[in-house]
Amino acid sequence: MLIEREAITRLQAVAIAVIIAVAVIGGIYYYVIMGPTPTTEEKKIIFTYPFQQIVSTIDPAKATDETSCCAVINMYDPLFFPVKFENGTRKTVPWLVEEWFVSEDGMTYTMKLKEGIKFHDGTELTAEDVAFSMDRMLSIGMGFSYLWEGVLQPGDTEVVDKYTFKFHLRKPYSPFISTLIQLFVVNKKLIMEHLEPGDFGEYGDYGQKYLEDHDAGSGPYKLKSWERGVEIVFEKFDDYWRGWKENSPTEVHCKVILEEATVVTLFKKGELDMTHMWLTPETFEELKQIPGVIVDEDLALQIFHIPMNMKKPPTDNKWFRYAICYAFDYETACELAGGAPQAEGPVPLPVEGHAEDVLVFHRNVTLAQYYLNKSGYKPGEVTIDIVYITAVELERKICLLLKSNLEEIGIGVNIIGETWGRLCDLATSPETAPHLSCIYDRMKTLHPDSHTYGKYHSSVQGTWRSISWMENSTIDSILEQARATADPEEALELYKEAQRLITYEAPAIFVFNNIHRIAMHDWVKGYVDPGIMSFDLYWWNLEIIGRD
Amino acid sequence: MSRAVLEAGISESTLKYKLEDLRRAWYRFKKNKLSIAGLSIILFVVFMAIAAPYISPYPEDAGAVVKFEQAYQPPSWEHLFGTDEAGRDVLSRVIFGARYSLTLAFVVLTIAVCIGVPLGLIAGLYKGLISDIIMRVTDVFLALPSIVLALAVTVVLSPSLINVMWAMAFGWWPWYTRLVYGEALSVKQEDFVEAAKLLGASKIRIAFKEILPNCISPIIVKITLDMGFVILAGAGLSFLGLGAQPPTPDWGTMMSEGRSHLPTIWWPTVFPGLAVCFTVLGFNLLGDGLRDVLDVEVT
Amino acid sequence: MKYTEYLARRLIMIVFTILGLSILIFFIARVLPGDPARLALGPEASEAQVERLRELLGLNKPLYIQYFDYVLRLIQGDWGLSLLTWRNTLYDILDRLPASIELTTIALGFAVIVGVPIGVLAGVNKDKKTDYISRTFALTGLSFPRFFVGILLQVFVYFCVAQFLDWPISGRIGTKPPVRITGFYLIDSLITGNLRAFVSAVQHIVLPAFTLSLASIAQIARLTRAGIIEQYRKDYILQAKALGIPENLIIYKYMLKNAFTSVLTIIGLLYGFLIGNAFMVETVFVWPGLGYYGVRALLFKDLNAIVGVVITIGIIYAFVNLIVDLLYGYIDPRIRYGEEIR
Repeated sequence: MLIEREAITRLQAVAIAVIIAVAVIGGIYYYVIMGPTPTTEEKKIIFTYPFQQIVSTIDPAKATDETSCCAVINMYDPLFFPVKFENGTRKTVPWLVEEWFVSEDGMTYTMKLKEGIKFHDGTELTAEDVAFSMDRMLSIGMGFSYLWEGVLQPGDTEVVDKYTFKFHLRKPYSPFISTLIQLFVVNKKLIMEHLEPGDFGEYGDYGQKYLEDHDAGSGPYKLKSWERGVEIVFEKFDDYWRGWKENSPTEVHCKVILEEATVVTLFKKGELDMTHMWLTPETFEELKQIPGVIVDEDLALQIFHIPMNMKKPPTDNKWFRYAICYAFDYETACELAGGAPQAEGPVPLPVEGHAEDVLVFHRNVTLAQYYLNKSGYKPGEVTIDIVYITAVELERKICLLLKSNLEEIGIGVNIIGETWGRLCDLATSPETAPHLSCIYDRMKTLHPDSHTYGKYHSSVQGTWRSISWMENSTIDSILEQARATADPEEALELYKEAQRLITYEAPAIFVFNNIHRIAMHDWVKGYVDPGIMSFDLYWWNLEIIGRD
Repeated sequence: MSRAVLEAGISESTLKYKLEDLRRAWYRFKKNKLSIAGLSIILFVVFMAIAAPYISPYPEDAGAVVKFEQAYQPPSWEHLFGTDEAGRDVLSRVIFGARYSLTLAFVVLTIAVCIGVPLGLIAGLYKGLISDIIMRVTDVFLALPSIVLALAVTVVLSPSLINVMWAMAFGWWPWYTRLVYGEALSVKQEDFVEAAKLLGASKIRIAFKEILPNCISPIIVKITLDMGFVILAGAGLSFLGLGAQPPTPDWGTMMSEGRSHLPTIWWPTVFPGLAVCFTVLGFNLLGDGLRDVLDVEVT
Repeated sequence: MKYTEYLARRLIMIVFTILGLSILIFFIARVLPGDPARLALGPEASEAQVERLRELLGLNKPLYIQYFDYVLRLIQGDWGLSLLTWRNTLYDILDRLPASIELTTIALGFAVIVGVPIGVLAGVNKDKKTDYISRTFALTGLSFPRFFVGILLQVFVYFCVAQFLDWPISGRIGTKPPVRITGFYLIDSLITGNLRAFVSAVQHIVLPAFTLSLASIAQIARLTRAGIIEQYRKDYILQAKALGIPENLIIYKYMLKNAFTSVLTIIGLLYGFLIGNAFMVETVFVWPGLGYYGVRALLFKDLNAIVGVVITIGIIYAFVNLIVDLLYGYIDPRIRYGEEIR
């Protein structure tokens, strides 16, 4: 034994010494160089928000649903932004753009960018990036690119100098500025460094693969982590061009929570700072009663209406449609919607360009019977179909209400619950489109064009938005004129005229103008809802004061 | 015991023996408490379905009426099961709901049996390509749980009770094919079938006189149990929104309508659900009892 | 010799069945009314955009070409893009498979632990009161629609338990999920020593697993009972009794083992069955598993996801059946060299 212990050779001793030395040095190196740096820890303010559905994409050229757009709005900046002022008016204001002007004929828009705007990787945002972003959106052809269909093609955006660019439109388009709130600028340099092979020639796949998991934006928040279907986390971008308020969130956690009950429970416990807008009106009433909870309520830029198929008997008969419009109990429906105001035509109430003097129906059973008579159909002779979206309870109740109203005057109703996907599919032809459907329609830009031209011009037929299958040459020509008018004031007047003509045709039962509600704890300050989908979830606005 | 008698027999005397057996079976059935309980439950539900307009407190609530002012009232003396989202009496709707569930089960299984049994017979009798094709197709259909198949089909079609019936028949027929095929195979080996063939009996005769009688017991048990499963599956499909549409007082549809207000407003969902359980329990008890009585091995 | 031959034949049959299944579901999915391109692009898309995406997704080619393309890519691991997540469906499915497997395993485990004793009790006391009670109990479990049990439990917990204890009624975990090693929250949280996550995962799995197990308890009980009854008829029992061996010993040492073969087969079958049928429970409890994903895919006409899920379920089902049949053949040598096993 003793002999063996002494028999550790010198070689082994040296080896052991070297190993110990390396370990010690390595440890020092690790701690000093890589270890926690004793700098001033920035105060972490975490904000937690529920998503009612999963985020499908974070690519600004593809996002169209609420949660995806929320991600995009925080990671990227658009050229213009929808803003709600103190007095309630909403306007599209320049955002990345410093100043702009449009040519006499309305075909050329010249814009100058603000200087010194940085992307998350430090590169400066220039006109090159804007042109690249627009071309990218048009080439990929998804997301909101339909806003510029027929108006812009890839290559129509000219880079004049570092901060100036021009849009050369193919035809005059008066809503153009309002659509630029959906043009988010991506980092050209970063994307070009990460191209994969694809269909776009020198641009490969246009960075689609890269943008599946990364952000190439300039927005107030960077993508920190994304566990699909579970949670997406954003972290603050310190060099954001708008600067920062003192108590803005440094980190935002958006959790996917599909069940309303869970959202409410977690919110009450304080684990969520806000709820989303999709809770039922009854739930919001309940939340209002809780001290320390604020429920923000305002008119939304969204109408709920029941479009009628104007190409399928019996709803192709105008007097039949009038009968339906007079039979419906608007008051009860609005009550069911939590006290929402009745809609006036297709354009939501708070929008600049909403026509005040359109034809608005109110329940009048006598008139309903009169018009049914005038239409030539006898009571008890016809049955029509109404489709609603299965998941939406309020729609189902309104269908039950309508069925009861219509059966009173002798029109039979079949209620059918479909999924959203199937309704979109049924909408593609006048034969398959149901007589009546339940549709919420939210504005994607602050302009009446989307709810007039975008729904009732004969060229847009085939989607759920135009499920009325309206085909009216007078309305068509007014809408075309409105789009082509360069002067914005004149254009709005024409849009108002179009609304009057549209409501006169009774293409739908315009039920209510939705109220946007959202609940938050009183430590959340600065929330503002301009009305366009997801733009209220622009986290930069918020400050957390008085939570802990 | 009864099987042994059947198998030994030659056609004419089997009839007399069968009557004997039925009487014996009925005696055993009466002694089996579970089957009696099951039968009573089913008779009660059938009675509910037939007498619905007369025994419901508010029969008009099963239709298109809406009374939103009375919505979501908890169970009380006026409304024993409370009111639902449109103010309708839940008890009345539950009573009317029996009609839809029973009709569904009856129609689905009729279709399934009418398709499945003949196919199984053909596959069993005609060995060869036809038999192989039929059984392979059956295997493919059986590779999926029936409800998944039914789900897939209902999504193709417009949601309605009728389409749900077709979809479920689509998912249920293969079981009967396989059952009958199995019986046909095992019976084919038996001597008396060989004898019959030698005597020149046609395949159809063999099918009806030898194979089918052996199948009847397991088929009856399976149909009874399946009635319960079909009602369960149907409730599930309606729950997902694919079945009967509002304002039809179908139990599954009612459960789906009440779902968003759980757990605080539980009565529009729980009572129809209990009705489903009660009815299915009846079929299960009856089926289990029958299985014992008819001495059948069916999985 | 015969064993491997049997195995080979079964494997080939499985491939054919899966192929047949894939054709069936592929055509159903394609025939589903609902233009996936339009759905993917969202509500506002114009005709031109939809047409372009249709080209991209190859939806304009004849069906059989689409099918061949699909099978080719399937084998290579490209299961097509899910229209909801824009990712390879295979990854979506692999993401969610552990959740379903975890739920099914716990549920089945519970079903065995409860079902077998009930079955033994019923079998040993055949036709006596205990038999009737346990059978009714088991049958009741079979009579409840699974989703309804889930709802009842949620209501019960909310009204009775939640007042004292903070018990969750939906979701898979309340805290941040543990670091993903196997994908099973219970295992991963233990491995990484994340006790909070473990406790939360256990809390969340109890209700859905119990709900899922209910129907299986009945089936397991029934089979155990039948097995026990059958054993009672056997000669060796008579001999054991004659030799004076205590009743309990007979039951648990000898009979159960022999009766267990049939129970084993049903456990295997139930496993495959539950994975495919768990979607109702997953929907009610918002359990992010394969079933939930499949239902959503069906409702949203996410074609690739639908086909992917169905094929996955089919594969699991087929392989479980195969394993069960093999085990059965292995355990019971009488079957091994016999005729066709169904």
